[in-house]
Amino acid sequence: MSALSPAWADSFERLAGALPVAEQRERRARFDSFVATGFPGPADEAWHYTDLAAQADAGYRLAHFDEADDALLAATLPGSDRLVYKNGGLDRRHSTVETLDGTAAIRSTGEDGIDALNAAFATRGLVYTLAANTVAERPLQVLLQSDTGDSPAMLHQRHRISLGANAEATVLLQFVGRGGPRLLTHVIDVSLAAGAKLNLHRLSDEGDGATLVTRLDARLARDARLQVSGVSLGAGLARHRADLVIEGPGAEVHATSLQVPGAKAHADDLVRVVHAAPQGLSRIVARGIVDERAKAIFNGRVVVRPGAQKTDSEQRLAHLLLSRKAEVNAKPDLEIHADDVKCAHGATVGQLDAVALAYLRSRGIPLAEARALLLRAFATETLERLAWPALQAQIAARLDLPAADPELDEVSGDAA
Amino acid sequence: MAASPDAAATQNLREVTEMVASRKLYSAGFITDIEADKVPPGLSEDVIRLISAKKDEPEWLLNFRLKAYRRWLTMTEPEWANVDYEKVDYQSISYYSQPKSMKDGPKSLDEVDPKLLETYKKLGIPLREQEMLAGVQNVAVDVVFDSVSVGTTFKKKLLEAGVVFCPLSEAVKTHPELVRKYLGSVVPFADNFFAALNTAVFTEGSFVYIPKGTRCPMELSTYFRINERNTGQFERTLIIADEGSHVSYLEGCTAPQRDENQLHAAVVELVALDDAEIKYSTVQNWYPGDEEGRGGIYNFVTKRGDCRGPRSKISWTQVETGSAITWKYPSCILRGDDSVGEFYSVALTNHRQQADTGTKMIHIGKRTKSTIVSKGIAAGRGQQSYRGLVRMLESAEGARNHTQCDSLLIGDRCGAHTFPYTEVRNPSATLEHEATTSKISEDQMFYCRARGIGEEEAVSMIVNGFCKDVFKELPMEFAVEAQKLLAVSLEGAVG
Amino acid sequence: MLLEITNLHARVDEKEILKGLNLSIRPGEVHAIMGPNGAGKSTLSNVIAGREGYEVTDGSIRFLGRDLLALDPEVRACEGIFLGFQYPVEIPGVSNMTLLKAAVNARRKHSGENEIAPNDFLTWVREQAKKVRIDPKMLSRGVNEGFSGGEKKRNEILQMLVLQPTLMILDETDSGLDIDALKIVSDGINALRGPARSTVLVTHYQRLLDYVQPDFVHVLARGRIVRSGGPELARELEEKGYGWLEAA
Repeated sequence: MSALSPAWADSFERLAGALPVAEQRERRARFDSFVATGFPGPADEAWHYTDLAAQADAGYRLAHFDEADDALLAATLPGSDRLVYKNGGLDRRHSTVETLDGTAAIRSTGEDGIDALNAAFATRGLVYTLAANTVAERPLQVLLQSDTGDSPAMLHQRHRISLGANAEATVLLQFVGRGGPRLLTHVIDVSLAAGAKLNLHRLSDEGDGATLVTRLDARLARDARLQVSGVSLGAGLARHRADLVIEGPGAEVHATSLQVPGAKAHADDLVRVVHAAPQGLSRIVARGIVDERAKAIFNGRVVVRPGAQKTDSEQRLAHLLLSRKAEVNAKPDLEIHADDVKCAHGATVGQLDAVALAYLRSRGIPLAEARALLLRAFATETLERLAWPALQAQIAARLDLPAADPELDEVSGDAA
Repeated sequence: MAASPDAAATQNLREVTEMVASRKLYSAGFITDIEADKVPPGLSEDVIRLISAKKDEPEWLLNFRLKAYRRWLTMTEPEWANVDYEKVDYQSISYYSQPKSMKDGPKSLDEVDPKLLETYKKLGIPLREQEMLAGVQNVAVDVVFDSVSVGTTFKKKLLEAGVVFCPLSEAVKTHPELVRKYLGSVVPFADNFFAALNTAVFTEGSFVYIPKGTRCPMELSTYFRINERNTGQFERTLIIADEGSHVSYLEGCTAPQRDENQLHAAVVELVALDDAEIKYSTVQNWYPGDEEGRGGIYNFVTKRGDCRGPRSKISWTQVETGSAITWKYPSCILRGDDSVGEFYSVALTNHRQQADTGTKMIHIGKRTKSTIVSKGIAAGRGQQSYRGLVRMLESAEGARNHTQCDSLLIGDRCGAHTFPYTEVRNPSATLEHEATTSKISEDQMFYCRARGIGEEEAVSMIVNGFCKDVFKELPMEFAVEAQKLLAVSLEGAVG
Repeated sequence: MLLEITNLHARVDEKEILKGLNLSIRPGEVHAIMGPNGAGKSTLSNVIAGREGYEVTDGSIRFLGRDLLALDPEVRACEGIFLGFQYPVEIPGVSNMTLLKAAVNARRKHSGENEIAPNDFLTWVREQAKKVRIDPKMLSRGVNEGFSGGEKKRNEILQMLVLQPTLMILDETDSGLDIDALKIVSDGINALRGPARSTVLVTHYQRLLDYVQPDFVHVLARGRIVRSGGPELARELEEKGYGWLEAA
């Protein structure tokens, strides 16, 4: 562990000074733990391919929120509720559901230095509680923007989503930003009561200079269903960890991920599904398109605890590696402690299918268009999980992929 | 630490000093002056000097050992493997043990203690018969008993083909240029904690050299056995297949039943030059400990092959049924263009056994190809992990890998785990990894039993079916032995 | 001349397959190219369509007076060459409709026309699909994804009907078809016959030629055309096999 520069303590004291004594004590313990642990790196198996050691000396200061600054860095999605943050502060003007802003309680355990760092510094965020048997009418777009200027800045937020029994909701966490070197950490705590259904989408599209680290912790009670769809685009370093725990029998987790890191970007996803109860179902589907000097890391891990019989789990990872300077590291892990289970996983790394490409060209389709069609097809399985057409279209456009053409399906519609 | 090691160290020091002094006067025969058959427990530079002196080694080899030892002192035992065990007290191990009757060194098999030969016969390696039945069972055998090689059969026939197959300590004397050139060239002295330890204290092992364009006329085989209490076995094997040559090498391992844990930290290095092929098969049946996990061998082994020349091929096949703890990743460095690496593995853990095993395929050359087939079986409270790395470097144009990794669980208290690392840096490389987990279904069991097949036999039959893809890679005699071993190892796994 | 092949030498994986092939096709003609397995029939189709891995070492191919070998495969297609594949590839995730629309528009763009209006396109495709009895529902599935052998071949003909090529090369399109499917496929080919359009049927058997009457029949063996004649040559081959030609 490298020694931390005094700037960290300085930032912490500024924050802590303004807090009530009890909270100060709690946060100080977290800060001390962060100082003791430091930033994670390859020595920690969960960080095998991502080294944050250099963050220690970056000289970050807490980002400042200016209420007058209301420039939006991403398009709003029509038909949805909105909660908008910038530099950790609530942008009231663009938010349609201010009441969902709040301060989530700090979780009891932090596993690595980043968890401790977030716990020490984290400020307000989404606190979304849905009562039993309620179905949210509109999806919720949570815009988490960083706009920090040239000097090194950091922001830390925590969010909580809890759905009562049989409640249903759709939430998008969208990360976007600009500025100089910046460290952004977000911890998202999710709990789903029996039969609850949550579609949780994550779109990260930060700009140069960003080091974005998120951690999602979700617990599912009996028959709950969680769909987590992550899309990693943009620049800088993005690390997303999801720990999804099936605590009640019959619960389902569907985790899909699309990684298309920009030219020099580094995208690291870790999805860990823990089956702690019987009859659970989990599906991990990850796709990556890695070009130029980008690096994609995907570590999926399915853990079947003793007694979690009749678990049905599948993990499929596929990456396209399109450049000599790019890199793919895929690791589909299984940890199984029960025998009556169905667990399979697979991973492939390869290129666009040359035969398919030749076929399309033989029909007169230019090479670039043929490639785009095949890339789109490759990403389809993950894009379609975003059962939110406006969001799907936004991502396809962002990736220069042909948009789905609903008109073309009419031909079959008419015949039916 | 026990009370005696200090005294033992003093004793060692005196012996070494005497030996080094006497060596100048009498270059041969000094070894008969040594009283100790087993070096007292403990590890120090003096012990290493003693081992080296006992083996009458040249200076460079001693220095190689000492360099490794000094580095080892700075290293820490790896903890990333998915195994849980009481750490070894490296000072309580004796690093050299020699059967008493062997101290003059046998000139031929006739001089070997009949009791020793009897032991091997029990193990199913009838040395004498083999020599007599030459041509019927065409296998040359080198046997390592604790730390010393007891005899290599078929020397004459091999010699005619130009094949060198002898104890490593002998090769150091007869083929110093080959040993010096290749020893430590595949597994560097500081490669990992156990390899460094091995380099410092290795006592015996086999050396094979197949000359250019030669197809080794028979299977070569080594049997390792740990016999002495509180000894470690640190054998070291070096196989060099020169251009266009071919060799198939079999390795068997056993150890008697003991309550305490014994350490086995071997290093195997394979070098395949242009167009050469090495097939290395292992049936490992070290003592696994009892049902409650008492005793058993710690099997911490570094095995690596270097496909140094174009179109070379190295194929590892292993059947791992023994040992309390296994930590083993036979690997291939695919350096030559169009070279091929293969890894076929069956690993079984029953009772309290734990295994963390797999392979590394490092693709460097163009159009290099690797195949991995791993079958893990966990029963009882056994823990079974496959850990594999497939790395395709930027230079590995058109490289291919296919990995199939299956686990079979028998009972609900065991565990089967898969940790495949895949790292790709070349856009024309293709990699595929598939894994499944299954159990023996009630339907399968019922079907067998309805046909009159008993429970244990049915399990063993189904398990053998599960392992078929690997068994077919084994030489015939080994395949039969492997099937029997699985059946024995699975006893008590059902019901 | 629509297509003029002169002294064509081509190789695949270092192995010379075509060894000095000559063939001239005028507008409106139907040519059948027959021959034993391994004679180079598929190589010829693939070389005309411009598939990668097929290296032309000597000779020339001119299409409507232009040097065909200088063109990328998609440009050849836009110029009016269509290859019906022996083994059409499956492309999961790219729907048949997407493929057809992209292909139609690429061609229109190539000849300086505007993109086709969506309604016109749908009407057009639906009409053609009816001709080859393809259920329009199948068209929203991935290209050839999960299609049977016969469906794949019918789908090739559908693409041909939609794209209206000038030169149709059908590589063993009849293989693996039952009699009904063979009839559908033949009807499709015949529907496109016209004075400005030529067809090359690459086939091992006489069967297809009962439905699509060729003007000329050529025998391809050992990398060159060893014999040419009228429809009667096909019947002769059917009776005697290829052995007598090999011996000659």
